[in-house]
Amino acid sequence: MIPETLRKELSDHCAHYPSRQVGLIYVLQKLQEHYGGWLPDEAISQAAEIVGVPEVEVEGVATFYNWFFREPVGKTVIVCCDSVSCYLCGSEKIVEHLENRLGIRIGETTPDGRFTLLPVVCLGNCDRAPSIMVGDRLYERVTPAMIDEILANAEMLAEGKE
Amino acid sequence: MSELVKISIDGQEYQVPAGANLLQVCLDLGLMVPHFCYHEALGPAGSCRLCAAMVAPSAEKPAQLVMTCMTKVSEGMVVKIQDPYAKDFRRGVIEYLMLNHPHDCPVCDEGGECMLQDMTVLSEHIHRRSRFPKRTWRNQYLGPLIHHEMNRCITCYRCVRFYREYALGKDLGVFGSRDRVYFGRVKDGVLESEFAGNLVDVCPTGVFTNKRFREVYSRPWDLHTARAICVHCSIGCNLLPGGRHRTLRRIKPHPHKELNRFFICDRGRYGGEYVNLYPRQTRPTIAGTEVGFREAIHHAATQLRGIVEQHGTKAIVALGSSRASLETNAALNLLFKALGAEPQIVYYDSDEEYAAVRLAASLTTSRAITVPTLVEMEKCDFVLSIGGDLTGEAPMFDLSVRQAIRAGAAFFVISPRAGKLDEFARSVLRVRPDALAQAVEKILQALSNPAETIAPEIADIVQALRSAKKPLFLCSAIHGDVALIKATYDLAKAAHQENRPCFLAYYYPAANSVGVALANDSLEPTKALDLLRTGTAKAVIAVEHDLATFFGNLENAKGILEKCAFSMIVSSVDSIPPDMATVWLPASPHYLTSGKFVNYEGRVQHSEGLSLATPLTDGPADLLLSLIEDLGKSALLEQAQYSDIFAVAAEQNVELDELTAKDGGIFIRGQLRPTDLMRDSSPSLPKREMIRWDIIQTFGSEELSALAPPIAELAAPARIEMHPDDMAQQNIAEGDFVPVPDTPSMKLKVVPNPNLARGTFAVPRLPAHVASQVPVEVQA
Repeated sequence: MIPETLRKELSDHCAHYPSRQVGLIYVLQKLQEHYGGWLPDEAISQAAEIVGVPEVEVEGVATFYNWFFREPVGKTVIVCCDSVSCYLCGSEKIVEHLENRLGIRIGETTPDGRFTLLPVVCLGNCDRAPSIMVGDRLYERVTPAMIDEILANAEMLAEGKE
Repeated sequence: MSELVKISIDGQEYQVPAGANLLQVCLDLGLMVPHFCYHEALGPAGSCRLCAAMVAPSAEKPAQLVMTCMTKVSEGMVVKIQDPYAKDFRRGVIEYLMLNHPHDCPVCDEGGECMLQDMTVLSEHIHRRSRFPKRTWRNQYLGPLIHHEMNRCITCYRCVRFYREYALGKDLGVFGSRDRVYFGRVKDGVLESEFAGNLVDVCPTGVFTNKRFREVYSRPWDLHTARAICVHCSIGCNLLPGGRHRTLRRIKPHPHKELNRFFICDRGRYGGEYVNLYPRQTRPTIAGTEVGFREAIHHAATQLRGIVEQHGTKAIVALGSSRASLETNAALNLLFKALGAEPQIVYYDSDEEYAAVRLAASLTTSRAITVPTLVEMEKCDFVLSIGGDLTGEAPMFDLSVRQAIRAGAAFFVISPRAGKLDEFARSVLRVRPDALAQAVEKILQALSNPAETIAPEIADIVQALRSAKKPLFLCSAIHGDVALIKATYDLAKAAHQENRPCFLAYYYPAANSVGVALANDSLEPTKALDLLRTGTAKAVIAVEHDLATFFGNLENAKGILEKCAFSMIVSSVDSIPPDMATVWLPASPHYLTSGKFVNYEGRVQHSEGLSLATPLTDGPADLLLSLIEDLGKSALLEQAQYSDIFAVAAEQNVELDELTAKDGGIFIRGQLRPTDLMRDSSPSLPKREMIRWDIIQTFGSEELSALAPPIAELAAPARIEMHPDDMAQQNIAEGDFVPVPDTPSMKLKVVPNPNLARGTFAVPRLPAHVASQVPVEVQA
C-alpha cells in the first residue's frame, strides 16, 4: 500500500499534462523510490490505477527502461556497457574484475544486499569507452585498476547516504 | 476510381493506382516481396526491415534501398525487388530474425502455413552462422483457445498491433526491450478480447496457435476444406472449416471483400466444434428403439399420411428453424404439400420475436433501408447502437464499430445494460427494456423539431447526428421489441437525406433469421401452442428446433409430445432425449452439409459442406426429401420453386438455384411488405415494476456454439443481475437466490450491477440444454 498523500501527489502530477499517461514515468520513479529501489507487482497495478492506463501498458514501460527494476536490487546498482565500442575497448575485463571484487556474477546481487551488477546495452558514451555507471554516476575509460577506487568510493557514498 | 500511374518492377511495366502502398501493389501483382510486420488490415509499421527493395523515383535518378511497405507509388518509379544488393540485405535481415528462432519446424503447429518459413526460404537464408545460445522464455496460459510459445517469436509486433490498436483490447502487451522483448499478459490468464483467436492468423509464426487444433493435430495440407457460412449469428461471416477423417479440426476465416475481410470472432472460430459431439444418438429410433433410416422414414411417412387422412389437413404443426438453411425449411414446407396438408410452420419461440424479426427482415429485404456491409460500417462517422449489446449479439459488428471509433466516429449507446463498447461511447442512455422505443422516439422528435427544448443527453446525439456525413444505426432485433424496430426505422428515415445516405442494420437471433422471416407459411408461436395444447393438432414435427426452448422447458415439451398421436424430431443436435419423440431422425450437422443462409443484409450465401467420414451423411433437408420420396411425391421436388415457399421475387429462382459458395452472395429481393407488418404491431405490454432483460453473451448464449467445449468453458456463470438501488429497495443482498422471472422453477444468485437500468432483472440467455444443467440452487 502507498500513503494517500503520495497517491494524491502522483495523481495531481498526471493532471498537469494534456494526456495523463505522460506522467507514467514520473509515477513509476516515485513508486520505485517508495518501495526501496524496485517495483513490486502491486506498484504496477497502483501506477495503472493512478495514471488510468491498462496494466500491460505500465508493465511495458517498467520493463523497457534499464533503471526500473521489477526485482529487488542492491543499495547500489552497477551497470556495465557490453555494446560494441565498450566491448572493443575491453569491457569484458572490466566485468570480470567487478565480478571478482564483488564475488558475484553479472546479473546478481551481493549477499549483503549492497551491490547489484547488471549489463546494459549502451550508455551513450562510446567515445570514452569502456563506460560503467555506479548508482547515478558515470565513469568513463574505466580500467581494472580504477575499479577498486570506484568501489571504495561507492561504499563510502552508500554509507554516507545511510 | 483513383488515378493510375505507370511504374516498372524488375523490368516489367505496370499500371497501378497512384499513391498506393508499394508493398501491397507488389503483393497484389503476385510479386512476392518478403515481409512480416506489414498486414493489409493493420497497415505498415516499417519495423521488420524485410520488405526492402531498390527504388528510384525515375529511370534517370539513382536507386536507393527503401522499405516498400513505407513507400507510396508514383509515376515513373523504378523498383527492383531482385536487385542483388536488396536480396543480400534481406538475407541479412532474416538471418538476424532467425537468430533466436528454434529449429522445431518438424513438430511446430504452424508448420505448413508458416509465414516465417516461407519468408526465410524466399529470402534465401539457408545456413545459421550464429553459435551463441538462443534466448528462451517461459510461456503463459492464455485461456482455452490460444497456445503460447514465446521462443518462436521474431518480434514483428503484429499481435499487439492487432490486439491493442485494431481490436482495442487491453490485456495483451509487449514487455522489455532489445533481445528480451516479450509479448503476453501481465499475468497468466484468459485473454479478454472476443477476437483473440485472430492472433493465430495474425502471428506470422507459431507463437500464438490454435489450442483446440493442436490437441488433435493435423498438417494443414491434410485437411479437407469447404467454403462455409458461420451459423452462430446473423452476420454470415465466410469461413474455411478444415476437417480430417471423422472430425472437424478447426475453422479459419475465409476473406469476403465486404464482410469479414480478415478476422472473425472467437464464437465463429471455436463454436463449430459441437459437430464432433452431436448428435450423440446417431441411429434413428422409433419410440426409443433403434432402427434403420429407411424404416424410420417409412414409418414417419405412413403415420403422417394416416393422421392427415383421419384428422384433416390442419392436424400437423411443425417447427422450422432460423438456424437451418433455406433448403431445410423449404423441404419442411414441401413435406406438408406432399402430405396434402396445410403448412402450419412456426419458426420462432415467441410472438414478440415473430413480430420483431419479421418487421426488421421485411424492411431489410424490401430495401426500405440502406443496410451497410461490415466494411461500410467501419467508415461511418456517427454510430448509434440501440437496444442490444453488439459484442454478444453480433460480435463482428463490434469489431467494425471499433474501427469506426478508431477513425474518430461519434459513438452513442442506448441500452438497458452496459456492454464492452460502452467505454468508447460519448454518452450512454441507460434505459429500461420497455422504454427503448420511447428513447428513440425522443431523438426523432428532437431531430424534427429543432425549436423544442430537449434533454442534454439527447441533444448530444442529435447534434452529432446532424453534423455527421455517414450516420449508422445498429438495432437489435433479438429481444423481440417490435416498437423499437419501428422507431429506429422512423429515425433512420428522418435522418436520411439525399446527399447523405443513412445506414441502418438490424441484427437477428440466428444465422438464417432473415431467410425464414420471408417464409410464406409462418405461424405465430402462440397459435401453434394453442393448436397443440387444445389437441387440435395431432402431430408435431420439429426440424433443427430445440423443443425445450420452444415449450419453455423439458417437462412442458414432454407433456405436449405425449399428448400428440405422432411426433418426429429431425435434428443435428440431440439436446433433448431423442426417445421423447415417436420418430427420431439424426441429421448431419452444419459445416458437414450444404445450404443457403440469408444474413442481416439480406444477402443469400451458399455454405458448402465438408465431406468427412462421419456416421451420418444426410442433412436435415436430405432426410425430409427422402420422406417426400417415400410418400411417392418426388414430382413435387422437381416443380418446387423458392418463390412458392418464400416471399421472394420469382425472377430470382434461377439465380438462387445456381448460387455457389464462390459468388460472395446475392441480395434477396423480399416481397414481404413492411407496411403490412407495421399495422398490427406494437402490442402494449402491461407496465411492470421489474422487467426481465436477456443478456446475450458472446460465449454461451448461442444454441449451437454453447455445445462446443471451449465456448462452454468461457461462458459466464448463470446469475441474476440487479441494480444495487433496486436490491436495497427490495431487501435483496448480494449472493441471495432469487427466482428467475418467467422461469420461477429456477433460482439464481443475485449479482449487483450498477451499469444496469433501474427496474431490470438481467439474466443470461441460455439455450434450454445448458439451462437444464445449471444447478438449481435454493437458498439454504
